Parts: sequence; structure tokens; C-alpha cells
Amino acid sequence: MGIEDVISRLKEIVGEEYVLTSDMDMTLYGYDASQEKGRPDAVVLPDSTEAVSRVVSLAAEKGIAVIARGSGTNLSGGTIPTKGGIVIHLSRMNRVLEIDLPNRTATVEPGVITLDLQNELLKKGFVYVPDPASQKVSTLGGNVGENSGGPHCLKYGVTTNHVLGAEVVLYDGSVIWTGGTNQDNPGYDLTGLIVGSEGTLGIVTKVILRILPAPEAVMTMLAIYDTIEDASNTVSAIIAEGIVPATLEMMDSVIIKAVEESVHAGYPLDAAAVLIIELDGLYDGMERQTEKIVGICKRHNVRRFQVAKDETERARLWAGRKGAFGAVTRLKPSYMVCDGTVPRTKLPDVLNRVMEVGGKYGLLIGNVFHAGDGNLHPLILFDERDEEELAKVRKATSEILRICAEAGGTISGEHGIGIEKLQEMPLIFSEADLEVMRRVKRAFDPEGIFNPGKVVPGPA
Amino acid sequence: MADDFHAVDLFRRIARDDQLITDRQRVSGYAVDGILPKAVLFPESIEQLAGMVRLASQENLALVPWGSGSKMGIGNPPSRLDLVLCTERLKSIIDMDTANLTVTVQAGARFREVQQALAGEENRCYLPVGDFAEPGGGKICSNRAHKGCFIPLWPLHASTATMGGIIAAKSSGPMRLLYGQPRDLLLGVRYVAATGEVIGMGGKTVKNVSGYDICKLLVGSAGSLGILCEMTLRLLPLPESRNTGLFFFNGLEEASDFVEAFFRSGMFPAAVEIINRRAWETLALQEAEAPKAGKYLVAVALEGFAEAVDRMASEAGRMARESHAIHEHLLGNEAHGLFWDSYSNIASYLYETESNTASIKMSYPISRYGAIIRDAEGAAEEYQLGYAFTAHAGSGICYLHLFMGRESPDTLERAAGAIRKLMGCCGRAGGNVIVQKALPKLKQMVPVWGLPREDLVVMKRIKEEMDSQGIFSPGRFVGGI
Ligand SMILES: Cc1cc2nc3c(=O)[nH]c(=O)nc-3n(C[C@H](O)[C@H](O)[C@H](O)COP(=O)(O)OP(=O)(O)OC[C@H]3O[C@@H](n4cnc5c(N)ncnc54)[C@H](O)[C@@H]3O)c2cc1C
Repeated sequence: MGIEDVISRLKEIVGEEYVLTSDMDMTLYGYDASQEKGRPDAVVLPDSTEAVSRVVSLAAEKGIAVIARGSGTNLSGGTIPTKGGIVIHLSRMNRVLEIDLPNRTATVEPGVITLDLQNELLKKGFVYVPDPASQKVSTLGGNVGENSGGPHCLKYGVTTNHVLGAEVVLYDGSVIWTGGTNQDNPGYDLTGLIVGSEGTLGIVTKVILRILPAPEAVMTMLAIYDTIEDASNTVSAIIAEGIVPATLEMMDSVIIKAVEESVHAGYPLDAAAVLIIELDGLYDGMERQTEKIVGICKRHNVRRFQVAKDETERARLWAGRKGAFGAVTRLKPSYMVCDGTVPRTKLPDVLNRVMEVGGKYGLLIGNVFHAGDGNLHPLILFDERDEEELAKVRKATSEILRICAEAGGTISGEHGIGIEKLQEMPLIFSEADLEVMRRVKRAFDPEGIFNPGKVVPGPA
Repeated sequence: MADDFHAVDLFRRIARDDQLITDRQRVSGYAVDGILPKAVLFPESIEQLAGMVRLASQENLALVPWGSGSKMGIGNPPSRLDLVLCTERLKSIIDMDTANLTVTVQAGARFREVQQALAGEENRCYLPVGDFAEPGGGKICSNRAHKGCFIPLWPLHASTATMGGIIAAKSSGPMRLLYGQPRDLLLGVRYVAATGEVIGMGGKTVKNVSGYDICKLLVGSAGSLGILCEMTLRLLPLPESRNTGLFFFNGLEEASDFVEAFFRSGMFPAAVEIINRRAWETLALQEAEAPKAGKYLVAVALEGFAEAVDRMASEAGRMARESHAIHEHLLGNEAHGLFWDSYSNIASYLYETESNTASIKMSYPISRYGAIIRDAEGAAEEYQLGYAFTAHAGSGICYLHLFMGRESPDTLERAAGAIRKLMGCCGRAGGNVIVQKALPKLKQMVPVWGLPREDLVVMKRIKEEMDSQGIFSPGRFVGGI
């Protein structure tokens, strides 16, 4: 039975119009937000767990690869069909199934857009915290796949800290639930393994998320600096003073300029760095904490300090941060974002070394990142049509990840390994460590049909 | 039999005499559900521990890790047992990086000692400023007023528990309401796998998505996948202010009304516990603190900025009065710590005075804490057993301690009956029951990990991949893993 037969079986499962095979579609689904490319054999858009299960059973029977896809915004090649196969695009499974305020959970299908859920919850006075800057387009299934972070994860933790359970289609098409609405379940924490597994262990078809009451008060501040050291020292000092803000985000001069030109967030063009600092919680004590933060910023030579007076001003300060990745494409058509994470005390040092790498290869690097978490995002700007430059970018990326690893950090804080960082895995893992991961993969997916060639490199 | 002795003797090559005990009397202190190991090992380094595991694997000896023993009651009796591996000599704090808000400890380090060390540690941030070139200099501390960090956890048996045991048993506690569970705090781990290899995962960063999250797999794996040796945990700066409100009620209805109102008000308490009189009697509260009458105590822990803690305390008081509290008392900063410390030991206190206590942990969707407590009380009364309970009201967890008294077919049957009944109640509500401690005979009468779930198939495959020989705590885990 050739691919033609598989395609006709797929059409029986999801209906003719939800199986894509045209040349154009195959090219489009060969991309995601990374620099990698591939090509699937077919794309299906199921609308139920049962349909996903039948597609997976079929693929298992034929030994064809299955790649789960949300919005394809991941930055690591996680949705690239490296060996052809069937892409399961989950965009039709986009229902919010239940919002259970008394139990503080939301149960959703994986295709729900992150921000859509967040907006719906906010109307009820609740929040789902993890807020990747891509939240307008990213799906919750994709967030689970990558264990995404975001500006508000400093205080509240990343996606995995907010996922209570999942319905998962296994390699043979069987369906299980891990975790649940109750918080303690016997046995291994399979939910914790599934989150961040980049679609290599199973396909998530429902997720139970933890929601929290919206904080009574939010205070958003912008601090502007003449040197990047002063800004990063402020980050460490705030935490050393016993304050863990909801957010501590940083942008450097390259990013500030790009952002100002595109979204006019009100950052001064000649600043070396800006910090966005946000406190949240009860009203009580917030003024005093803000004063304390002003004091710390002053001690570290802040040029200007601004507190958002209202929601409009707050939105404006944030617009710059959220639009940063988009804005840099004004400078160069492509960017490569490294996602290395280091103990936060190593930030100033590592930032310097990253800039040295840029200098060495003559590449323009902008930094916009989750400073409080020690999660760097050097954006290397380039033109992908320039082969020579692309080669330099790859070398620089690898060097930056090595610097992070040497500083006691890791090569990815929130974007995932995908295929892009496979080669760098040995920087932080021994062969024995990697073998443990291969065992996990085999336990879930003995035939290796889910998203092959991702996350864990083959044996050395 | 002769073979076994030979095998244990092999360990003498890699352990000193004082690191390997075989005499029956001392070994009997390390019985697991009444089953005696042939030897108890006390490794002093990770390398030595790895060597012991390699040897156990070569000789196919079954091995159960042991911290301080406070939670050895959890799990099925082992299907076979040769060695107990005690981590008590691996007790160093390897790295206290308070500026980075992480700590790295060995498995045998006691929670209390780590917490003490952290509390006194200044939150220095070694910042390179100004002249980088200046040798040895150029580093300052921030001009801080703050001091002290903590592991945001207040686990059961906090005064004896080891870090390895807490993680392996995913022991949480009241403060999980605000700060999360061990799974949220464990950032990195080094452990010894069944192959005898030392495996390292994660590290000193709060965010990490490089490869599978093996830390999550190990949290709560109860010694069935590997021996935890070193763990890196996330810290928080000590809160500026702390307080605890004790509110006493005559009826469960009133107590629940109060809890309900407090949750709805958008406050962020660190813990909200409901416990019964028998449980608080173990705490030896002062006269001013606890009334003579009253059946239920709601203890509310508040941690954070001074103004926020003060406001929460006053709102809690107001709401408690509206719900007809019969007595209220605020403990204040100092007594707060002491209270929660002894609170974490309630189970141990009960075990000292009541014989043959069977303890279970019930879990429900969180809004059902009232029902969970009613079911618990109902079952204990129906089967005529004395009891005490402590419930994490905001997390859907209730620990129930059933006092069996003298062991007899009748008491065993009654305890088993109550536990089975509660398994039914929790199961119908979408939760479950896990036995925490019970006589070996009672364990044979009830499924100690609750009723099997559909995800067991994957768990079994994971065990098969990680420990195909079954040398780590065989039979003790969920589904006989
Ligand atoms: C401009 C921009 C800004 C970004 N900002 C952030 C940020 O702040 N923080 C951050 O963490 N990331 C960020 N990202 C990265 C990206 O948006 C996130 O990784 C996001 O979670 C991906 O969601 P998605 O729906 O696009 O998933 P996809 O890219 O479609 O998929 C991601 C991975 O999950 C798997 N997957 C998808 N659905 C399922 C499912 N149902 N079951 C199992 N596996 C599944 C896929 O196979 C793939 O491996 C950013 C990206 C862009 C382009």
C-alpha cells in the first residue's frame, strides 16, 4: 500500500477537505519559525481525539512518521517533517471545554490559541499565567510541546508548572489520561514528561490547566540605562533584596532602536538598555516595594524611571517587548534566536561574551530577554540568502550555546531542542544521560513514529 | 542462602566495616514492611554509591534506598529485598548560591539543617561592577537590607526528613498552596541508574527545556528508577513578614464557610489547613491559643510583604467571625515558624501515642475539601475507629490517620473497610487514595496505591526500560512496579 492509499484512508477518517496534499501545502508545512525546512507527505486536520487516534493507528500500521503541529511558531525546528510523514495540524481542535472556577482549572483542546484562553479567563477575573511573547498565535498544545515560558514566568513558573493533566494519544493509537483535576496522583509524573517533549512521546488532545485569580494590583515600570552592566546588575540586586517581581525583562540598544521604529513604545533611542519590571499581588505594600525598586535602580545609575500610570501606558510599555522579534526584521530579513539560560548571577559576564562572539564574526546581535530567569535571547540578525553569512551565524550560535553551558547553564530555556540544537546536546549531557532519554522515548514510542529525529541525538 | 552471604561479602571490597552492617539486631532497624534486608550499606560518596549499585546489578540483588526512614511506610511490601542503601552519610550542602536562588544538596542532607543554613545566609549578589580587570576585586554586594532564603516547602516530618526522601516521595505540605510542590522546585539532579552510571539532568537554571524533563520523572518515583544523590532546588528570599491565624469552629459547615469566603476574596495565603481536635491536641498549644471546646481548627499561614500579611490577617479575622468562629488567635512572626514545624510532625506525634495507626492520603478536586472531610469522618465513624485528620483545604488533599489499636482480624477488617470505602468516595469524585503507612497485613487487604489508572501501561514500560532487572525497590511502587 503506497502513500496514495494512506491518503485515501486519511480522507475516510477526517473527511476529504481536511487532508492536504497539494505541492503548495507540502511546501508551506515544511516550515516553522526556525531556519529549518522539510516536507511532509500529507497534512491532516482532525477535529476529535478519536480522529487523531485513528490517524496515529494508521501511521503506526504503515510505519509512517507523525508530526503534531500547533501554529508552527516554535523556534527550534520542532515541527519540521525531517522524514516526510503525516503532519497532524491541530487547529480545528480549538475548543475551550470547561472553565471550572471553583477547582481552578481550565480544560482545553490543544489548538486553542494561548491569548484566546487568557482573554476569556480575564473576563472572569482569572489568569492562565504562561505568556510566551507569541501568545497571539501560539497554541496551548504547542506551549505544552515546548514547555514555553514568557515574561511572567519569573514569579509563577513556566508551562509545566501550570499543567495538571493531559489526554494523550499513544503510539498505537490508544488514549490515556495522565494527571487530572485533582493535584496528587499515584505513579510517575507522566504529565511532567509529556510537557516539553516536543511531540516525540505522544499527541496531546486535551489539557487540564491550572488557573489563578487575577492579581488585585499590577505595577509596571520602565527603567532606562546608559550601560548594559548597570541594567543587569539591577536585576540581580532586586532579587538579592528579597523581591521576586512578576517580570524582569531586558532589551539592549539594538532592540530598542528597532522597536521604537516599529511600535513607538516610548523608549529613548540612545539608551543602552531598558528593563521592564512588573510587580503584582495585593495593593498593600506595593507602593513601598516600588519605592524600594526605584532606590535599587538609582544605586545602579538608572537614567530614567517611569511607572505606568494606567492600562494604556502599561500596554504601550509591553508592546515594545512583545513586538521585539517582529521589529528586528526591519534591520535584517532573518534572525536566529539563541535560547541559552544561565544562573542569573552569570548574566553580565555571559552577555559580554556573547557580544564578543558577535564582534568576532562581524554579526549584528540584539538582546531581548527574560533577565530575571537568566534566560538570554541573543538575536543574531542576518540575511539568509547570503550563504556565507548563514554559515557564520551557525558557528556563532554554537559558540554562544557553548558559553552558556560553560557558565553552568543550559542550551535551551524555553524554545526547545528540535533539530536545531541536537548537535549541542553533548555540551550538557553525557552519552549515558542521553541514553536515559532514549529509554524514555522507547517506553512511549517503541517504533519511533512520533516526530522522528528531534530532541535526542542518535547514539554517538 | 550460602550464595546470598557470598554476594553480600563482595561489598566488603568496596565498603569499610562501618559502612556495611549485617548483624541481625542492627539490620532490624531497617526492616521494610517487616522484611529484613541482608545488609545495610552506608555510602559516603556518589562514586562509592554507584559502585554499590553496579555490584548489586551484577549479582542481581534487590536494593531499597532509605533516607531517615520517615516515609518508609509508603508502598507495597518489597517483592524481594537484599540490601538497604542508607543515604545518611551523603549529607553535604554542596552549593548555596543564594544570589541565584538555588541550593544543591546531597540526598541525605536533612531538610531542617539545609533550611537553617539558608536562613542565615546573606543574599549576596556578587556583581561585577566597574573595573573588570581589577584582580580579585570589582565585585560587590548589593546595598541590601535583606537576609536569608528558604526552600519554599514545609514537608511532613520536617524535623527528620532528608532531601532525597522528600523528593523521592514527592512530599509536599501545607505551603504548596502558595509555593508549589517538589516537582516545581527541583531544577537539577544527579542520580545513580540501574546500570550503575551516574546520570545528571537539569542544573542551576530555573528554566530548562533541553531534552526530556527527567527531574519530573524522578520526583515521586520512590526509589524505583534510581538512587537520588544530588539535587538542585529553587529558593525564595525569606518573606519579609509572616503570621498565622488560628480560627476554631464548632462545625465543619462554619469552618468551610470561612475557607470558602477567604478563597473567594482573592487573598494569597501560603496555607489554609483544616484539622480536627485530635490532630491539634498533639500540638500542645498554649491556653490563649486554643479553646477548650471546638471541633475544627482552620490554620491560615500568611507570608509576604508586611502590609499584605497584615491585611490578610485582618480580613481572615473578620471573615472567621462572620462564619461564627468560636476563638481566634494570631501567632505572629516568631511563633509562626514553631507552629508549622510542629504541624509537620503531627503524624509522628500520633504514631507515638496511638498504636497501629493506618494513614492515608486522599486527593480530590480542590473545591471538594468539605466533602472529602465529611467522607473521612463518616468512614471512620462507620467502622468505629478513632481518627485524626489534617487537610490542605486549597489543594484538595486530606491526610487521615485511623487508630486501629490492637492488631486483630477485626481491627484489620475495619481499617480495610474504611479505606476501601474512601477509595470509592475519592474515585467517584475523580480523585484517589494512597496509603502512607499501614501494617503489612493491612497492606495486603487494600491496594496501597489506590485503584490502577490507564496510564499504568506507560509506567510499566518506563520501569522496564530503566530497570529491566528490577533491582530498585521491586514491587513497592504503583501497580507492583
Ligand atoms: C515572535 C515569536 C516570539 C516567541 N516568544 C516566545 C516566548 O516568549 N517564550 C517561549 O517560550 N516561546 C516563544 N516563542 C516560541 C513559540 O512561539 C513557542 O514555542 C510556542 O509554544 C509554540 O506554539 P505553536 O502552537 O506554534 O507550536 P508548534 O510550533 O506548532 O509546535 C511546537 C512543538 O510542540 C509539538 N506539538 C504541538 N502540538 C502538540 C500536541 N497537541 N501534542 C503534542 N505535541 C505537540 C510540535 O510537534 C512541536 O514539537 C516565540 C516565537 C515567535 C515566532
